[in-house]
Amino acid sequence: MLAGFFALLGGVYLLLTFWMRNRISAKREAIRLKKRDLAPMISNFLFYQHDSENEDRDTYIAMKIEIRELLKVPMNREVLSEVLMDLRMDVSGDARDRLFQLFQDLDLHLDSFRKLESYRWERISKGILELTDMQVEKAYPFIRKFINDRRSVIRKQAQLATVMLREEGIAYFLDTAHYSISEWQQLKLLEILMQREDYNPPRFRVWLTSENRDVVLFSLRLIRHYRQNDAEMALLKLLGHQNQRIKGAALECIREFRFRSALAPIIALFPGVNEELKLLILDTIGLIGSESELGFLEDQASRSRNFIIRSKARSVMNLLKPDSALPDAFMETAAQEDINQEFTEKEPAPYPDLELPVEEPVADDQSKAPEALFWEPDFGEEVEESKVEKALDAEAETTVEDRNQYDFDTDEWEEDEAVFEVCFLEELDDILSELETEGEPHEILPLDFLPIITEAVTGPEPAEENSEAHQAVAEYGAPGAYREKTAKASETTPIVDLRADLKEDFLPLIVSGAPVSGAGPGTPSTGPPGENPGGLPDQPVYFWEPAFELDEMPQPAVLPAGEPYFKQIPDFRDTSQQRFSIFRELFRDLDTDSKLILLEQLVEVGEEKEWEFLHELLEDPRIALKVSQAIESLGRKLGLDHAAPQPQREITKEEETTLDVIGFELDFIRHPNSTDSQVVNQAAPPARQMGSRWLRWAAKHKRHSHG
Amino acid sequence: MAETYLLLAEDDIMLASLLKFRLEKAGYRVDHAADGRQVKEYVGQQMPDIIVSDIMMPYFSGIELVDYLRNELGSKVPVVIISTAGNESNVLNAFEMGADDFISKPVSPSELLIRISKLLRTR
Amino acid sequence: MGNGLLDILLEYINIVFLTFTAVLFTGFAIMAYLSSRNSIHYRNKSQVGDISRIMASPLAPGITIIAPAFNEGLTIVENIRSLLSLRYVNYEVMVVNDGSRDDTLLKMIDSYDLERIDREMDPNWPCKPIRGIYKSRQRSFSKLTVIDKENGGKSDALNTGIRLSENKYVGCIDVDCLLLPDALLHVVRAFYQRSSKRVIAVGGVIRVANSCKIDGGTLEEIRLPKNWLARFQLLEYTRSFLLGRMAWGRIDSLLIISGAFGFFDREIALRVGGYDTGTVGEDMEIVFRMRRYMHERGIPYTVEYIPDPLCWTEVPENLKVLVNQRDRWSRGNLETLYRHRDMFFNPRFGRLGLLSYPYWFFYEWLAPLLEFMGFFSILLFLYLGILDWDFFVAITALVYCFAIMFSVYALFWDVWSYNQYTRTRDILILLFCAIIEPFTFHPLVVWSAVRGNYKKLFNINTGWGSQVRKGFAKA
Repeated sequence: MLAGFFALLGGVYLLLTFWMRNRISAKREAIRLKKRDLAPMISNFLFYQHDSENEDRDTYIAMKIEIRELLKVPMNREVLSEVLMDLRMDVSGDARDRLFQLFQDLDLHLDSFRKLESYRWERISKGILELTDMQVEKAYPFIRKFINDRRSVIRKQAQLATVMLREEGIAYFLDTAHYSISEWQQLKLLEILMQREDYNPPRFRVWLTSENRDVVLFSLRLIRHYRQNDAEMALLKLLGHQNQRIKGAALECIREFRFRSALAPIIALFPGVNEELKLLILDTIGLIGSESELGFLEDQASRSRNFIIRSKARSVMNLLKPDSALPDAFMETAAQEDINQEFTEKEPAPYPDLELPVEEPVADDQSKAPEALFWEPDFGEEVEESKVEKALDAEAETTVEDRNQYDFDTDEWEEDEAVFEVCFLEELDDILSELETEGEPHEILPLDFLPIITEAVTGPEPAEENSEAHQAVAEYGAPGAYREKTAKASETTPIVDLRADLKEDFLPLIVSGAPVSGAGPGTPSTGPPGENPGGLPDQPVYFWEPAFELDEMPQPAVLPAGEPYFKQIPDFRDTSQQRFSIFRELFRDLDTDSKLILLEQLVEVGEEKEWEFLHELLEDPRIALKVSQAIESLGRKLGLDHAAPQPQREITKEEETTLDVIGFELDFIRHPNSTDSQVVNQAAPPARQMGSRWLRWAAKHKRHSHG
Repeated sequence: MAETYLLLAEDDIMLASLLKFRLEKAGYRVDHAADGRQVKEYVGQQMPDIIVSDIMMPYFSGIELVDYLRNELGSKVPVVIISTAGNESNVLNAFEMGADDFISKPVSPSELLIRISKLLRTR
Repeated sequence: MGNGLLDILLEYINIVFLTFTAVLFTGFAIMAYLSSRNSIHYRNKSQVGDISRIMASPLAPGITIIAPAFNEGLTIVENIRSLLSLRYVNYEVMVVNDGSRDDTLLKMIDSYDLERIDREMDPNWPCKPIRGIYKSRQRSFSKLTVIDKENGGKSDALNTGIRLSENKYVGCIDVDCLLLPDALLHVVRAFYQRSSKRVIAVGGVIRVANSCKIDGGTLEEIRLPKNWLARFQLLEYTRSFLLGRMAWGRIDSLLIISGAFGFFDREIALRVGGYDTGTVGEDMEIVFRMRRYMHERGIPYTVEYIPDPLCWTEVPENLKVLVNQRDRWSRGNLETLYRHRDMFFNPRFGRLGLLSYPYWFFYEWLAPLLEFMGFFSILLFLYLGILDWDFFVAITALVYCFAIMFSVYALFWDVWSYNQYTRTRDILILLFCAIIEPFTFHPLVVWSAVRGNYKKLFNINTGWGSQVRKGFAKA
């Protein structure tokens, strides 16, 4: 019974298959024949000259009549449309214009118009496509209204049409687009614009203040493509946008236009972005930087955990100052000479100066997993401890054990490992002995080389509930907001209120709304001197601040609703708290020489907050002289009074070491939400809190080499 | 005066017929080859005065054609390459091999005519 | 008393089989429906727009195609050539010579005028040491990069490529796959079409290239394979790719991306640590891990699937090779399923845990075993004379007819969508295959699966079969 049913179904499908196949083949064949027949006719039409001899004219007229007859059959019309559309892609110039003319002469565009009125989305979009391809300019007003249709295929097609059919289409589109614009769509739109001859684009910076994040992104790309370098301030501002892609696009523009004023902001931005953007930043430094950036680059080259970043930093250093970064990896030491002897005897070294990748540990399993996973924070997301732990476990389980199945069967490996082990154990002893003497109350494990401290974090409750949504929102808009299906919102109101996200988390490295110790990168004990003695700021620390006034933002020409979101940013000048300048971060982490150099920069670009900050720097005896000079010059420049009162405080020895030692790689470090000043003030060597054995390693070396 | 013999190597039938029509209208004698093998046949029968070839064809690419003409046959027949967008590196290769000119798709027939006549003039 | 117990047992077994079959049928019916809808939708969506112009766009992302090669000296030059002539501007072909014993590297150096370049490799990244990195002196081959390294297996080679690539997306293919010229454009479209979710991986259809006419690196004519084994596989691929994956793709629960044609978002692939070199089912395993990664971070994502035929490859025509391949697949299945067993019916992983994983577990892994045992139990019952003939015949007929119907349905869709095998003779041959498959091909597959499971469960390690030092078996 049931079996019979299935068998019957099978038979039916079989028949259907044959029938379908025949139909398709027949259709193809018919079309091919028709094309062959029509080809001379079309060629004739296309190349007909009005002033040719009578014979040609007669043929022409006869053909025209014939064609009108043919066109009475719908199938012929369809074939002809198709033929014309195929041809459109192959010919250009004069011939193409005639093609379009022919299309309309033969009234084929009316068919397309009719399709626009269908209730099926496939028909509508096909109609739009045809009208677009054939550049039927008069269809513009009809198609334009589909631009925010909730059916995505229609919408996308209409957007393309609007931009293609009229030059002002792009402006209209950017003004009115409510839905998100996929990358693919952007590609296609740009393609259309690029096809225009003698195109005079509007100034795209006007749309940088749009509420639609994708419009901003697209505008950035257009600015770069059309080399409109009049949007410098807006670009700098956009560097602080949540969305990594926008950051990236802004960076690319900056790189393209070589805005020197961006140098400081991008350096400040560096720690908080993912690998791709970091490389972009380094590249840009290579183009707009000078030898004064060498300090920063040197830090990266030596301290970054990421191999690619290190290499890139080195190459940029060499770009800025040739031979400033010499290869120092894999250099022979006395201990290793024997090993090398053995090696060279076995087989010729493939590279004269590069040996087998050796030093990084296979011995230490656990470090592999988190490092493999957490090279850089990405998507502007905030890392959650609990999830991180689980991921680590999964990682450790799934990948680590297998990685260790490698049997690198060279003896050299083991010997180098042994050397490494010895050094490592030495260091370990150091650490343990220090720990014992200091009696750390922390739960931090001595071997805590995980970049993220795996302790239960009580602090960021709000962060936790924010972060998932936050992540999603940061990258892709609020759930359902930009989704095509939920288009309940009317066509004129923005679907998501970007202002809502921006209030809290606009700037990249805000930890969370709640007061959290160690807010932002950096450790509590290395908070800027001059803060409350506990070392903890009470308010969230804004890592980067725009260097210009918000009022200067250009107004967009047309806005659908609401105001440009930039205006919603709280005006920093009004906060009563200590204002932070980007230079604060930088000064914390550099050595004396670099500080001196940076001071000069600061005078050039500094403002009031920098000036105040300078006063804090007076406490450092090594740079005090230069600082006071800087205060004077900056004060003169800004017309400020000298000497705002600042609490005097000695830099403790601990902090001094810390100031020297902390590498530039400031990742998200979370600490227990403890305002216990005792805990924080403990002289726990900060390097350990930073995590990463390599930082400590580097720290150790630096400590030794530092004067 | 003898008609100039032009060989058109293009696998897109519609475009080929269009170009052929136009070229014939301009006074050339045109043969159409749809792939590399046909090209070889035609060239074997009679060496054209000028060849217009697409850069990518089944069995034989435009570059290989130029290579074949210049190196194997030792012919100096002018060759115009029709290239597709984004294929600039291939075009450069074609030139390295010995092509004389190129025109990119979408093709403007009038422009093609100008280039052809220019090439023939200088021969 | 004993009889009674036996009866109950029998009843029980019958019920189990019945339920299993019923669930399966429903599942397949749904799958068929979903895939059809997806096909139609895709068809309609794709007809709007010409994608070939995009290939040179300044916004087009960079793609690295990684092709591991081991002892491919015979065909490597041709294969690379075809890879170099794709219609896309911003891409790179990275051939990883995984310690070949023959003249693969030499041939490449000769044909493409390669010279060694200086380039550092991340010492932290676990993979076998690299002996050299080569680029061509000629501009026309500037897209080619050759990496020569010590033998470490396919996953290891792919990992090396992933790490060395500097592009946004990486594609992992078999070096002797034929890619159609527009393949990369489709891939980019698949990655870029979503605006609210991040596309972490894109998979495609593998088509059977046996007996097709391939000349100078291009597919000239599509023909039905002459070899019967290949024909069966063609039918199977059609079912699984067209119906199966299309359906899963529609509900975004695609679990596996074919190792012969899979593209990944490089950043995510790096973050999960690349392929796992310890398993033979690495192409499935990495997708699991990438999905898991995104789930755990709560980042909206999707895995896309391109139904257009873009990749053509040769399937095994030799029985032994086929059995080895399927054996390996089932071992890979088991390893991956076991490793990620916490996903089983775990709502935390959404559809992945509630649908895909159970499906894979029950149907792809368990079903062959059940069939095998079922077969023997039937024999047993026969011997014991307790077989319920009516029931048995009914169920067998049912399953049989359903299977045929399903295959024909798949064929039908194939014709409707792509109409590649147009000759009547071809369609009839395929129909014939569908009819005799349950007696010929299917038992083979079941046997290989059982063998694989047996080996794995009893820890007999054969790696990639006798091919571990010979080369990469087909993915």
